[in-house]
Amino acid sequence: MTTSGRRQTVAVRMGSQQVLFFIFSLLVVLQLQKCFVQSQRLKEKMYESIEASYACFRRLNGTHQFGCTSKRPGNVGVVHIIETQSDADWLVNSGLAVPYVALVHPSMFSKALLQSLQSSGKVNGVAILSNSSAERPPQFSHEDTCPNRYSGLSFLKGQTCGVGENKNWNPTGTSVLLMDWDFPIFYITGQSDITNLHNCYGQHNIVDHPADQLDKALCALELRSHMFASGSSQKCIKRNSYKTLFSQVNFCDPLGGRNVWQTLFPRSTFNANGVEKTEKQAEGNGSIAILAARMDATSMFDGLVPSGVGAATSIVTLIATAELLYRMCNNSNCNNKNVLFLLLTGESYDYIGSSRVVYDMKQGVFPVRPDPSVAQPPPIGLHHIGPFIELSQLKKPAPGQSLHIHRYKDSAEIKSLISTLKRNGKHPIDVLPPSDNLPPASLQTFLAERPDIPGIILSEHAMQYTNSYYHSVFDDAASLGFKYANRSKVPEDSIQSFLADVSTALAHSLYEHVADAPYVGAAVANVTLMDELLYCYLEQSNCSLFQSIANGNSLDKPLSYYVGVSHVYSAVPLVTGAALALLTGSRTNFSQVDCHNNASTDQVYQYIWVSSQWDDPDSSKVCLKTTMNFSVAVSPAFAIDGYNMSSGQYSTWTESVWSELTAKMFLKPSLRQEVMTLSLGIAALVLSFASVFFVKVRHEVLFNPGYVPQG
Amino acid sequence: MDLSKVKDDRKLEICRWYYKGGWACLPFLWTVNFVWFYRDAFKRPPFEEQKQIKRYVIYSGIGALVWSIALLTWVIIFQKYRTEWGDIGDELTFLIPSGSL
Repeated sequence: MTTSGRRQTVAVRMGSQQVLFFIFSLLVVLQLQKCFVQSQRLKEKMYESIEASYACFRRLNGTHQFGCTSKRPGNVGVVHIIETQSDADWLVNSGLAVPYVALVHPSMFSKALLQSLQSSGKVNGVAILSNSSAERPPQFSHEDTCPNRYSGLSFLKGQTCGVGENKNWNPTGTSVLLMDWDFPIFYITGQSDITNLHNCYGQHNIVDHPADQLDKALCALELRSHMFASGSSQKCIKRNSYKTLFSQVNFCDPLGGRNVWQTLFPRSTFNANGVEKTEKQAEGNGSIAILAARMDATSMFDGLVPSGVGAATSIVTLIATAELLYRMCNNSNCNNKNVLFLLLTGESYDYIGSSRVVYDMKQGVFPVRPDPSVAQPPPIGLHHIGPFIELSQLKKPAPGQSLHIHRYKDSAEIKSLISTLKRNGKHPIDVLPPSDNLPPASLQTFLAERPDIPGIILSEHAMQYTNSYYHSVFDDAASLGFKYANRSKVPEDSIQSFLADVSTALAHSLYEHVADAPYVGAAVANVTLMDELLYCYLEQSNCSLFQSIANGNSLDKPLSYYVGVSHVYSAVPLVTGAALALLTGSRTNFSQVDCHNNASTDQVYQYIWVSSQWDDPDSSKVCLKTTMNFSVAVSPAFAIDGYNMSSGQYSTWTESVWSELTAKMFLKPSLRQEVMTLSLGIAALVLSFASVFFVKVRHEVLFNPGYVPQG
Repeated sequence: MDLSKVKDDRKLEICRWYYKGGWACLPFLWTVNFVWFYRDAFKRPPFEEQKQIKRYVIYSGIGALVWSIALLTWVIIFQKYRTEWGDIGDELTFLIPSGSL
């Protein structure tokens, strides 16, 4: 009994010790956690992250590098806001608290300013503060004055733009996009961030005398946008291939994506009864009309590439034309000739999409690589191309102005095409004389291979762009004057009505090509659809049309039209292809599981699972059969083995890889305080070494050895 | 290893091994040998194996010196001309610098 009683007491004592230990460890853990949380807070207190910011990044071509980069750990600079020229002069001439980060208002952002900041050597970074309520600068285009200056027809004929007559397509272009900056450039849109920056600047950085900035803590910005690639595409592509155990990084990726193509009528190598077609049954020369538009644009900043005039208006006009043409041909026999709808991507970067289409046509593999065992669209060659209409930079012309037709050469076919268009059009069209100096357009790539293609470019501008925001962050719905009607009546004088009229004229003209007879019906382009399309492409990609094709995947931001890198499928071609398919596809009875083609036996049609009504995403889902498909839009330069990257024949654009693009605001102590902190730290270090040394030398005295070990 | 507790004949053995090992393109072995046995070779009162140890230490020292001169020369040339050599320079580079040539 006694023993067991003792044991119990021990057990109880053990128990209380454990409880005490548990409480103690809990307290320690809690304390540690508290410290940890506090350290988090400290970091947050030190830095204010700027969320709504977009960074300029580095792009490369076969021979050069363009764009911006920061140093690897980021660039830090004292904030200096430039609202007027005198602010800029103060920074360049008087600023002493170097380095600075210049915060520039869009109206002040220019090539001259950037160059003066770069050459001053005082600036470590630039950020544009874009206040949405502020008035937009009258012009803001940082593309070249001659976009795609060296490609297209220029590659064959030498410079065609801006030579002699001194007329450039993009007169407001500054070429900032095509220069190499050795500091990061950011674009800040967050209203609260902008207010914070202004407050912080006003509170800390405004001084009477430049030297006063040296004695106080200053508001500073850290910009991180370090780019891995350097030199040229040739160099970084080569570097991509050096993979060692310790460096497996990619340095750059080719620009590119997917073109969207669709034929009005299905084309197959097989007859209806499954027998291969004979040569006689194949399409004749010039039998396929092409309606083309480009899908991409660019700007200086990653993720912020709107494109109203640049791309969206052409895309929506093409889609509406296709939809109308399908409706017109639905109940009549207009199956004599065909129309190819072609939406090209990467055109802003030396015609990536169209040069690949032309290259593939020459190789006999467009739209798909021939395979005799499969029913598939037969190859389209350059000789098949008949009337070629490219839509480029469409918008509603100013009062008294009209749309313009550009062409390379004159021929009977072009004359008849133009007269057909003029006859079918509601609005006047001005025909410019034939010229070597064509505006930048995909047609140039085709003409460079086959100069007698009867091709025209339909655009709003004559010899110079009227869009002063070309390839910039301001080329959006506001600059286009678009107001969403949202199913109510669309005003007659709106951009929607205008583009619908253009679509009607195009569809009626293309009908004459396919049916060899004028159209006698009453079908016209759907203005409500045009309104919705413009809304989707310009303002809200979460619109009902895109929801109808998205199958639950949400797109909540306005679309960004940058072509992107070739191995990532960007949104614009995807939604454009799906929208075309939804508006023109024919219904099938397939279930969602069977809604796909069997690629090993039939490649003529694609199948797509979408809502049955484009204006109602909640309508019942159906499987549509369509001739819409995608084709690779990667420059032939990256497809040809051993291609000479400096030859200039094909686009060689690549984009650098980066690890992060961030901007952070913080309060930077004065130089005096920084030096003081560092000196104190060094002094403490030296002192601790000295004391340890002292203790070691005098240990016998300090730790009185009462006991001396024997032997 | 505490060298002060090692007997002299064993020291000679170690020194010889380090010297021989250095020939396998291991200049650091020669450097270590030189530093480690310097005291035994030159500073201690004479003992039986000292003459041989001294020889190995001197040879190791010379070897290490030649190696460091050669390496330093190569490093200077490589750093100075790497970018000019283009692709060959990159191929000779172990860690390619990010963001610069």
